[in-house]
Amino acid sequence: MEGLFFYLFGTVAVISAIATITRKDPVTSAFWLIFCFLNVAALFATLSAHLMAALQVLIYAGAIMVFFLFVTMFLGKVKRSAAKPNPVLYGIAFVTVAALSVIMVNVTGGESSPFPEVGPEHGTIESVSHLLLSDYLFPFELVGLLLTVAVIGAVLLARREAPGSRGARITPSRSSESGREGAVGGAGDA
Amino acid sequence: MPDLQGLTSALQVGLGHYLGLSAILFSIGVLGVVFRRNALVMFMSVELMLTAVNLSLISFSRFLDDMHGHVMVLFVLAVAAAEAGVGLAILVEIFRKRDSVDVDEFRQLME
Repeated sequence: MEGLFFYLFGTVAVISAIATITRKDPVTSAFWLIFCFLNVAALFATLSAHLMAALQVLIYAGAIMVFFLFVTMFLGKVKRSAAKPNPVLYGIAFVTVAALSVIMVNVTGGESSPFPEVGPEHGTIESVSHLLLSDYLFPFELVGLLLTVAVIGAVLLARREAPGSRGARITPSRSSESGREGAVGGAGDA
Repeated sequence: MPDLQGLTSALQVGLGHYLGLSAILFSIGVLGVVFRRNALVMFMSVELMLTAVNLSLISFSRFLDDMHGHVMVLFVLAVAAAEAGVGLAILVEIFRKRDSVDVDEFRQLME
């Protein structure tokens, strides 16, 4: 029964992953990627990682992909580059990636050892959080710090500057820089 | 019933099956990063690669009956969220300046 679910969800996940990277429209790609993440979440559930399956749906397929869709739709219709890709470089890249994937599949998927039986507490919220708040307490706090820094950084980067506001940061400093250089050059001339 | 028995053994999956699937998903993600020139789709491919790694971590966790892989997946999720936030903010800023998200257009950091 587990094998049936593996082949079902695995096949759909691979197909939707291929659709993600081949669709022209980024919005279509994003929807295929959400579908792929949902299938991977189902695979997590077959591996009795119940909390991780739920988090995969909530965080990946939910929060992160909604964020992607929001930005994609915010950017609207984007123009494509007129530059033609170099076919030789593309050929080299394709051969390299194909060799990489064949090696990875051969190394990892060679012989298949069956999974052992695990207890009912494997993958539950309780057991994961026990581990998270004992052995991994310091990394857990660091992740909180990382997320805070990321939020502040994202807000600072994406802020639209009002003209004449105190936050205008790049243009004045650069103009003053060039002004100073001009002054130095002038002094040298004199 | 020999037929049913053969089918059952064919449907028997183990660690190698999940790792192989994870490798295939990771390779599709690499293909997306290498071949697509749209920065948004490249970001999505990076997310796909992270998910493939998560799948292999969860499989090993199940195989070893050890919960440490799940905690690692949780950290990967947090880092992926941070990466998406900062990366997309940078992308929005670039789009405002260049009116494009095509990486072939990005030849310089400052203009």
